[in-house]
Amino acid sequence: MKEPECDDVTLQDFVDGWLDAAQEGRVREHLAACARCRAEERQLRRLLARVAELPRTVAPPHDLWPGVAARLGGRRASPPAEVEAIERPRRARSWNVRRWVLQTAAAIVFTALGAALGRLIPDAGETTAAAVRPASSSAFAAAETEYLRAKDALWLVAASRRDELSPVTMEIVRRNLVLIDEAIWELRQALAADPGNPHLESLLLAQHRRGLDLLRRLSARSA
Amino acid sequence: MGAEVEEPRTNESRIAPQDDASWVERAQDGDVTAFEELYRRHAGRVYALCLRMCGNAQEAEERTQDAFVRAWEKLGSFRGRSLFSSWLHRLTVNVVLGGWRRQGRRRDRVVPFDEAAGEPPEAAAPPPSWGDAVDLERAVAALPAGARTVFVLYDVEGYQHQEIAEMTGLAVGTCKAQLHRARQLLRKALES
Amino acid sequence: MRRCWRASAALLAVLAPLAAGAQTEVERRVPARAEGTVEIVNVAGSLVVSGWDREEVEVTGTLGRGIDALVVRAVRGEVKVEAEPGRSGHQGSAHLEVRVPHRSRVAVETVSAEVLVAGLEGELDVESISGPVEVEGDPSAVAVETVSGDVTVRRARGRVAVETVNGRITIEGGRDLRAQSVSGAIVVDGAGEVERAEFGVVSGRILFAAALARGAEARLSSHSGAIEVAVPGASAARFEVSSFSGRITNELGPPAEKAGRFTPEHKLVFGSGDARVHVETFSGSVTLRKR
Repeated sequence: MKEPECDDVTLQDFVDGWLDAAQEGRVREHLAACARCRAEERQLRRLLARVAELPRTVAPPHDLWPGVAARLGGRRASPPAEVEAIERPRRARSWNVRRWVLQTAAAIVFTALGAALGRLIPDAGETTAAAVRPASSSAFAAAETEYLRAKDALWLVAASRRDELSPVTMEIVRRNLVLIDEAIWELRQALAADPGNPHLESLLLAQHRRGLDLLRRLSARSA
Repeated sequence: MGAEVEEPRTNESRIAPQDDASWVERAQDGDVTAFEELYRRHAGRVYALCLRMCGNAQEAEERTQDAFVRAWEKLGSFRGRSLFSSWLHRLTVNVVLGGWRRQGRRRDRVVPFDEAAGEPPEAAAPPPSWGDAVDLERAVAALPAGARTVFVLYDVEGYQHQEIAEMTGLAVGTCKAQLHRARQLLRKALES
Repeated sequence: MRRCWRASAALLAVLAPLAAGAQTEVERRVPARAEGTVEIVNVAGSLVVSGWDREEVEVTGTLGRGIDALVVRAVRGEVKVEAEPGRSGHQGSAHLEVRVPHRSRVAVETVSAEVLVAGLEGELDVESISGPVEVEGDPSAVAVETVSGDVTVRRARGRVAVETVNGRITIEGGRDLRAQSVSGAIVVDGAGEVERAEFGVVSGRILFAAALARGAEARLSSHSGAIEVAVPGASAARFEVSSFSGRITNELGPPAEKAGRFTPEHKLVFGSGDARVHVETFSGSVTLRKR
């Protein structure tokens, strides 16, 4: 029968050895008088004894090394591709003007973006062992690579009629892409100071995704 | 993740630590073969930890690989102030916990530490032992994620409440309550 | 008159070439399926889309200088309405009112036109650049994308998904809410019971003041933008809050604690209830308060 003074958490602390002498004394007194708590204590100790016998190693069902080996070695992002001006034939009905606007905006934006991104990518020259960058885990090394690849692809989408841009909109897009870039930069600096911090990694991935989504939106409209 | 902890208690013999040190050094220089040796030595330990924390084999395999990849990336920051196995162990815990946080986001679901909303863990593949141990492993795998995490870290792996609190972000009181809950649930499961 | 329209509008585009420099009144009507798709493209000017009971799409309005033609065409149950700018440039604007069967699925594309949608019950999809978008009525699902256009969704039955770059997002209805912006604000106020919310910003701020349904899940994240959550009380939900370097202010319960020895990060887990609210920022401040 559980009474108010049958405090299971205290009993647990007692079994675990967290109580000081005075507290232990009180628990022992209670145990002497309470059959229920004595039974609790017995069962708890029995459980812990069984747990202590669990094997500390368990062989994985199959060899996981190949999967690990494939992910080692850290990828380096490639430098931005050269901008290729692509002349697109004008359509007879130009009601898709908006799409041209965005194509052009994307192309111009990435001239600026490429410069900004250059800061984010470690120099290929840093190859000493100490500089095997702890900053990227494989998951977001992949995300970063995807982001840069998408950006590369967008470099190739260049419109010919830059004069049809809405300068206001283009400026907004440029400013916000730089905002995302700066967020990414801040996160990478924080990660460099605290490598492997899962919160930071996930925040960084989210920003990469955001940048990528924005680029995708722009490039999809340009199709 | 900066501190290096005492060796968690264990009940079986391990490879002599001196052997690890030379492999670790070579791996730190970029020697992948040396790192593979470290993998061979510690995969079982890492996998056991992941298996019990995750409650299912598939996730455990993924996390095991994640842990070793992370260990490779962070090898530069291992200073040898503790045993490599302790360092790897703690790193694995963080990888598992971090993986849950990420999955929670990717699956558009909030998964706080002490409740796995609507996610029944499959029974872990029981280790090659017998009878009692199989039942216990299954019972552990069937625990709700939060209780299971604290239980595995405290009772199986030997971390202190304060350490667990730091790693999981729970308050110490919550850890104790989760531990208590896990133990109660296990006892009930094993008695039936 | 009606017979004439029906015959000619059924299959082919109906074009009315316009004299350059004139403002032209237009009125067109084509048959449409009760639950068909209506696509509307109007680059600039304004657009009002409303639902009605007829199985027809009617377009009225004025076409400004620079608009070559208004194309209204029905093909196999899909209706397309396009105000085509002429070769002289893209300055042309049109002010259109389009009435569609109220259960239609509607897709709108514009650059700078103001868009107002009302009285629809089907799905709504709007793509804009700088034009503001306002949605009323009871659409079953709403998806809006703009760059700088502000978006206001007043009512919606189901899912609302809005994305802007710096446009402000205001949501007052809907049960499943998704909103993303880079530097625009996201304001949710007065929505009925929210079952699910997922908001992300970089530097914009988020205000989330809503009732949470049982089992609701909300995830709010920002880089440097401030996040404010206003709920009836601590029993509304279980909260998990973390910020790397932003300040967390909790008026509903305990203060945040440091997440670890070696990091500036702060965390907070508290509250009860079936719903879950997860807030995460890098440097943005977080405030939890009573609604």
